[in-house]
Amino acid sequence: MSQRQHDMGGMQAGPIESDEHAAEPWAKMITSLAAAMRDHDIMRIDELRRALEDLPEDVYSKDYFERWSEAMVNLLEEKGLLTREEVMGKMDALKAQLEG
Amino acid sequence: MMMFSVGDRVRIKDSHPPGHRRTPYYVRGKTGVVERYCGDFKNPEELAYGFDGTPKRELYRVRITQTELWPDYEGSDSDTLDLEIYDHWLEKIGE
Amino acid sequence: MTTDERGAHGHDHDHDHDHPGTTPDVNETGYYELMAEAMKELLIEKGVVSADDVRRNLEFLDSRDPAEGAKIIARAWTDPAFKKRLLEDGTKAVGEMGFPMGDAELIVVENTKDVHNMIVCTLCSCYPRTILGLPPDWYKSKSYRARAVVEPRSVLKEFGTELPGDKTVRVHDSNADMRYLVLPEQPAGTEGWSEEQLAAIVTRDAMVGVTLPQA
Repeated sequence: MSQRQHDMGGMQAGPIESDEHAAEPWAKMITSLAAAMRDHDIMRIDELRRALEDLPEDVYSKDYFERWSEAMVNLLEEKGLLTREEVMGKMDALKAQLEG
Repeated sequence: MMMFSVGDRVRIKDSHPPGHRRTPYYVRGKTGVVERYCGDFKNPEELAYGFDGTPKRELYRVRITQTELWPDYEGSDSDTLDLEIYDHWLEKIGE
Repeated sequence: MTTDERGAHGHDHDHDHDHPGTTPDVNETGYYELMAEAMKELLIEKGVVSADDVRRNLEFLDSRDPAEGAKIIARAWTDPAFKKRLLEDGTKAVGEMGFPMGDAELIVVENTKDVHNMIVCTLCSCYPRTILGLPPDWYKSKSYRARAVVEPRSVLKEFGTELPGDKTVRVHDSNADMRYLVLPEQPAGTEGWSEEQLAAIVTRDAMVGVTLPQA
């Protein structure tokens, strides 16, 4: 079995980009949301890691918090806590509010 | 009763089961020395799928020389790679 | 193409149809900002978490900073008994200073004249967050995660750190339940400095092991 996408030790890679960006508010919020769910033992870090690892390659290659968000939606759907459709619907509603 | 002692020579299983594993690909099949016993922890391979992760597994830090890991390693022969391996991934090698 | 499929398969700006609810010029970050907010609101509406839970965790997150972690190092440099406790049982020692480790355990690894330590998590981004806050982008990058274990000296050079050839470099792959903090060597010329002065020269990068503190 070949080396999985997340299992990066020894993979070919380029120079390290050292310039940093402070975490955006939404990134910190999603981190806090995940932490809150872990506090209540609703979602374990191991489950989230597994959901990240199982993402399709093109989704895994997104930025860190973007792929985290995708993994979280998948995991929460798996757990029956929400559906991707509900998330999309809520996004539409929020966008309408912002534009309203 | 701990399965391994500090100083034991161990091999990390050259096993490639699908699913969530915390044994990196690059150390599978490699040998090292037990550097310390870290304690007992719930099995992440089970936690990842909603099981409770019990019974806990023993976690060990294994020290591997870099020259063992990488054929073209550029550095000191004394350089090491230390990482944490759960007991079920380790095999004791004879003295 | 529905918003659903767009989310699952990746983003491409070169199409000319509308995604329901998102216009083609909403950038990737805007999309994910919306998704995060949507998830949060849904989970709160459904009673899975409360707004308070999220807020409390956010406050805790914001309270974490490498400057706090630096105090641990400064104390170890000035208090030999604390240093001994720190190296023997990192979790307990930092607990004395009010740092919680949660379910993880802390191992503090000491840089000496013979050994340099460097921390990475090749599998994801495990990092001593309760001590140092959120990890920097580079720590989570493929470049660092892939190369730190195989060519640490080359990686260190990219951070401006050059080590003598005969020094032992230990790379710690933080792959399970342990979290790591590097205790750098106290730089020459700082003998007799106060804890406060010393903490000021200990950077996050030094505690991850990619740089050395400068006096």
